[in-house]
Amino acid sequence: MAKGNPILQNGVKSEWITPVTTLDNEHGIRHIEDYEKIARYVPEGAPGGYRAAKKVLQSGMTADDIINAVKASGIRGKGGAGFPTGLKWSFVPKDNPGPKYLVINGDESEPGTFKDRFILEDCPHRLIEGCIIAAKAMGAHQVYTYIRGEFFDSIRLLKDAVNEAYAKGYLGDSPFGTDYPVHFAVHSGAGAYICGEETALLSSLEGERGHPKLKPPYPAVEGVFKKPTIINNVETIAGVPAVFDAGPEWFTARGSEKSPGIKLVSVSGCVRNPGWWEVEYGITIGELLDMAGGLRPGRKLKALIPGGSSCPLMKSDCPPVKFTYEDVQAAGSMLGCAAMIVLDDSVDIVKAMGSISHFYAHESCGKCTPCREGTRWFRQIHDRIVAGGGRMEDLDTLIDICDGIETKSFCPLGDAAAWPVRSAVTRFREDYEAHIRRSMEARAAGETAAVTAH
Amino acid sequence: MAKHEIEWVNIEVDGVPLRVRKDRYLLWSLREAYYDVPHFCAHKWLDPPFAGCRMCMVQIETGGKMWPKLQTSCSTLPSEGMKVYLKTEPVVQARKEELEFHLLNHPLECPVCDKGGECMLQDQSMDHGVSAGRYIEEKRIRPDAILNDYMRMNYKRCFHCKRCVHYGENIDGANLMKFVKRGAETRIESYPEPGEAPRFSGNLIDICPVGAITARSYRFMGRPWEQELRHSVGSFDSVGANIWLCSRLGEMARVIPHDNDQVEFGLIDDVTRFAYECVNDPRLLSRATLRSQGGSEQVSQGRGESEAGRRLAAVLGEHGPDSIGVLAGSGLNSEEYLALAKWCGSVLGSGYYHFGESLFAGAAPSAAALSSFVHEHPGIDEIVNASTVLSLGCDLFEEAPALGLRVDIAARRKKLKLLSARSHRSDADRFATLFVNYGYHNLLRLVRGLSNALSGAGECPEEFKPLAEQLRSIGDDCAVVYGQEVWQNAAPAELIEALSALRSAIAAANGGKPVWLSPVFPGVNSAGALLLGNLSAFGVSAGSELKPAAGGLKTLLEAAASGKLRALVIFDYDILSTYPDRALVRKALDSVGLVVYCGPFENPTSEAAHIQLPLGSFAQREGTVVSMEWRVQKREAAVLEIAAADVAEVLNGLTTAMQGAAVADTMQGLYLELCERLPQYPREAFVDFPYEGRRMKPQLAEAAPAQRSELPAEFKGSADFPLVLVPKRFLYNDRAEIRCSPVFDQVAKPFHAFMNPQDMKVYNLAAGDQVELQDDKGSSTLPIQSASWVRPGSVVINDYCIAAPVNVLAGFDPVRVRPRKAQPAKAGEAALASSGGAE
Amino acid sequence: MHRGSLSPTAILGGLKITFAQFMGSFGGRNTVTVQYPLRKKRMQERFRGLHRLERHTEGPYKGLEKCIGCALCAAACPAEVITVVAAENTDDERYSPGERYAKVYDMDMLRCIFCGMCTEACPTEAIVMKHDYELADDSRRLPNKFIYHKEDLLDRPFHW
Repeated sequence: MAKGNPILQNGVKSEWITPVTTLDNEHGIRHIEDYEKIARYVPEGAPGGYRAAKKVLQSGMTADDIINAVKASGIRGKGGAGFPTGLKWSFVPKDNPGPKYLVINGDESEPGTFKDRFILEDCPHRLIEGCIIAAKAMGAHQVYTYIRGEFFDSIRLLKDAVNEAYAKGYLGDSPFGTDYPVHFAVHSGAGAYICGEETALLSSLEGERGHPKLKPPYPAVEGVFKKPTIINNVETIAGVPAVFDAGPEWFTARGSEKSPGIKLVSVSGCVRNPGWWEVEYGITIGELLDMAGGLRPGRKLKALIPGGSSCPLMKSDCPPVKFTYEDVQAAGSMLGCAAMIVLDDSVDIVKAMGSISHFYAHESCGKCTPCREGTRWFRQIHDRIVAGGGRMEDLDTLIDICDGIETKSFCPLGDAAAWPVRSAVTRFREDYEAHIRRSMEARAAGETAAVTAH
Repeated sequence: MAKHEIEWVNIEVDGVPLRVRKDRYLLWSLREAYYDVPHFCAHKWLDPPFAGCRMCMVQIETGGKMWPKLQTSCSTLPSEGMKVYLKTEPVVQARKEELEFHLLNHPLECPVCDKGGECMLQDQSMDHGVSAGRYIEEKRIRPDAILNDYMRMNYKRCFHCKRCVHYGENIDGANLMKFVKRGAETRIESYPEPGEAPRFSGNLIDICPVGAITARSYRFMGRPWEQELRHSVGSFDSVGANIWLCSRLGEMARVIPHDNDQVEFGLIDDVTRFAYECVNDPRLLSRATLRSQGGSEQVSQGRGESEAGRRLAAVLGEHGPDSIGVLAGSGLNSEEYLALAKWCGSVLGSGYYHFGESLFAGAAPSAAALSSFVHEHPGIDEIVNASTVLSLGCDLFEEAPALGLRVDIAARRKKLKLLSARSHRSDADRFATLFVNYGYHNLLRLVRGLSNALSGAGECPEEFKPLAEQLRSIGDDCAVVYGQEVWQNAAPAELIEALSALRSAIAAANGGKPVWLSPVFPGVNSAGALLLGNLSAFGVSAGSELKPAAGGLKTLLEAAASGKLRALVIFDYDILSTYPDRALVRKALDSVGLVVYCGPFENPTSEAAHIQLPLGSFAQREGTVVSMEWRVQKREAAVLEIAAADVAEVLNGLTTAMQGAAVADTMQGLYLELCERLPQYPREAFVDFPYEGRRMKPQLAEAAPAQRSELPAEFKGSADFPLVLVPKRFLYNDRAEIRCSPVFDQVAKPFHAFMNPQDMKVYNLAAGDQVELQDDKGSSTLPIQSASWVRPGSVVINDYCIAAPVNVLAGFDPVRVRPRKAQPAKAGEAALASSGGAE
Repeated sequence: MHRGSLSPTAILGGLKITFAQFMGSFGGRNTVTVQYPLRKKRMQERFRGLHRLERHTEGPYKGLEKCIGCALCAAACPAEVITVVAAENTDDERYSPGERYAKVYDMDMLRCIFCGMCTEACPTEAIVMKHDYELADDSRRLPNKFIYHKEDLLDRPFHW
């Protein structure tokens, strides 16, 4: 984010996230100390300001009222899977006598995405407010926030904000003077992609190795410390206060029928102005590209990953596709967490896939065999092709490995590793073949040279 | 025993209907029905399933709809009407793919691998694999490592099924193996506890599906198909764990569990697993020794027997009947006890015989105690499946390891509630709901107190009341297990009667739900020894050739010490090192003119004998043994090159020398005779006795326990001797089989005196100091180790340690001692120090 | 066909072959008899004679035994001829590449049926069958001369 402030450039005028990030224009550095302090969040007139939380807690809304409002707004999980949030909250068994927990997934590790980090660093109070509402909705008194280990600043800033909220009496034993205690703990991960998977996150939170757990029992029934647990993405929860500020209709009026509301999109890669935007669902990919300043002059779009590195690659004909869960899926990819990675024709697809496969080989937790061995094999084959040792049969092998991982791995990480490879090998096969042919020719030439030299 | 009704559902497997248990994962039901479902990470011990290897995937259809993904059958529960497909194209394809992943980094060294021939990966690649690999990249390579004293880890063979890690986490809790790093770089590192002897680590060898974890002692010992397997029973405790004795080229190659789900469930301890090495050791005796004033002489077994027979005949001729005493340890077979009893009656004409260890402080067994053994007795399955287990004065991990581990697993999974009371803490109560520390020798106080509290009459000390409350609210079946601290008590019979009364009180407090009382015997055939050593008590008409035993072990020893007995014949019983009253044994051995010792190994008792005859070891003698649950099981003799005599053969030799002719008793003949004399003894074909054994119930009249409610005074240290001495039975002790197995040489054996760090500070002792424990009878010097599990005010020592014998101090009566830092090693103590601090 | 008329030409034609063979034998050209034991017959390439344990003849393992003591030959042997006892190589005392070698390799040639299964089973081609067929000996008492030990089979001189 070195160049320019992307935040207010385009897209929807944000009603529910007010970015106040300042930029030191001289050096192009963002002062992250300058996050939105509570003083700026709370006053009258500014959106947010814990009014929604206050209303929910003080007006005596029941859990069902809250859940119904969220259901009506149609908010879907913003972490990647897009599961309806209100529905998820309603899965918590009501008659369970023990404690229940709300866990916020801030382990934003997908290559290409940086939306949660923005929320954590720039408007953490949005998140805290959302947590209070969600905790009330599901009957939890304890919120755990699991933040990616590398987000040192986010963790620090969120902790500061939590302290502010405690000091103000918004969190604690009696938030807003009510008798519904809500406590908030910030936990930092140790830097593992797998801990973004909800059950692995719970394992990590419990102090175990970050291995995904067997489902069922689902976390809503038996989650962290074997108690009912709801796990939501940072962005999802940060959007909840707006449901009570602006009303559910505000969301349903935007986006498409199946993807209502708005979404933070991070755009990175070969665009002139990478950054994140808050958009309504239903905007086209081309429009998003334009927001990001378009491609560099003279470059053509080669490929595009719409939802973070785990989604299948789309070919250059993707700009007209609408940015909704269903349209992107129909176009053969996934919206994921809306982290668009743009690759132009200067990019070597094989090398790009090589680095993606390096990522997954490094991040595979090692629990199940297909993912552990398959991702390593992906990496080795890509390394070999890039280093000039490719063979045509490697492409079939790659597809076979994808077959062996997809739907057969324990958790979705395996699928996430296999989808981009499969899409790259099928949709950009000519790139691979050209690469291999070049290196085969080079090898043959080398052999001829060696023969003639004798 | 099924506590809850088993629910069944009907499923279809490849179109064939099958009825399966509802609470059981598909994989196990399918395997039970002989469907071949490959799997690597799932194991019957491990729960919850790991579902990491992805080999057991099946296709599932419910309600006419095929599930979108293949499911791992190890983690899928069946439902009514479910259709399971094992042979469809996606399933077969998936197995091929996953197997290829498993084989990627696995080296092609099956020919040199110890697991070759019994390897799951080998089997599966024969069934489902492709013959050619297409992996041309670099394989993961890492040098081998030594895991602990028993095992080595071959990292390159490891394919990360993680069974070993889960075994450490969920079964034995030792956490020997742990993951390090992640993804394809995941390594499994071992973290052995320094200074601690592993207890159940050997099971990792069985649980590893490939040859990554192998036994060091079995390294390159031979192929599984080359071995001769003989069924036997774990010979170092009374659980009766089923094992295979595997031998090759006339040598013992290894011991593996025989997987009897009713007994040990495949979980055996390391001593049972590795002590076979003593059979290959040169210290196993094959020749007789004659000792006299002039020195000792090695002679052949026949010569030794004739010499012993001649001298016994001389004693018999001079002093008549009842002049020769016969002792046998608890490691003999029932047939051998019968042969001994018959020999005593018909040849020696003596009633002075005692079999097994001293269960009743040297006295004859009381009728009420025997009745409680027989009538209130659960099977191991009943103990493990009970809703509550109350363990009193017994460290199950040390005394009955296989049972202890099964109870521990059930307690960890919250399938049973473990209540524990002992004079010190132990690993065995790590999952106990409640642990009560009553201080050594106060067990009777506890038991009476609990009975009083449950019946509401009489007093109960305050510290025992929580336990009484727990016992009051069981509401379901309960098993009371007791052990070593009862056998070492001054009045075990009284204690067992009190336990029996407690059993009735618990049953009464819980509405008559079944409550059992189970003794944990010290030896493999203690129950058999009890039965055959007291045939008249069990209602067997003695006849002329069987004289009833003339009282207990103490009576016999006193008779020897007083000069009434002129000769002692001892069979495989290191009485000098283990009988609590060492002075009496010493006097008895010195007073009789002739001691004949017959046993497989040398020990202090055999060294005190005038004639020492070799006997086959536990792996060489055939016969039946009776376990703590009255399960009669057969021990077969391993196929070995060295010939070994059993007791019947030795007796034949002796009798021939004494009388000129002998009855040729064979084990089979003796077994048949045993079945005839004791109709309850299970009668099967001796040659192929069912390996799982048969439980029996000896015929005995029920005797009601005496109801007594008065509490004995609490036993504590005194001003002169402030610490209470606790002789504890450890799994690793100085028994010959452990002493003579090279595999245990480096294992840290608990030959220390263990003291609470608090006490050590009081007496200004540091770990590793030599400490002299004194009482008014004598002193014993041992290296000291601090242990927080020891109750302050007591000191725990190994009850079988030759170098510093505990029984110098410990008698059946409680002992108080005073610790004192020993002077720097005198000549006599140097040996003691080196063997004591063995780690 | 022409039973009654046997022509002299036909008889002579037949005898010509006989005569040529007879005369040829004087020059040694047509001799099939070998002057055994002074001379020995050369066996066919695939003749299965006495076994021999091979060594690596080239590469980094040159001079080491090929046998790794896996005992697969013993497993394959239908007549239970072979006994293998394996042991572990050390860096000081190395017999074969890798960790395992055959400490004992005995073959009881009284039992051997020369089926060649052992050579089929051998994963390292350590045991091969050569052309030696003179296996008679004079003692079955101990030491049994028909039991060939490893040192007999290894580096066995191969005459023809």
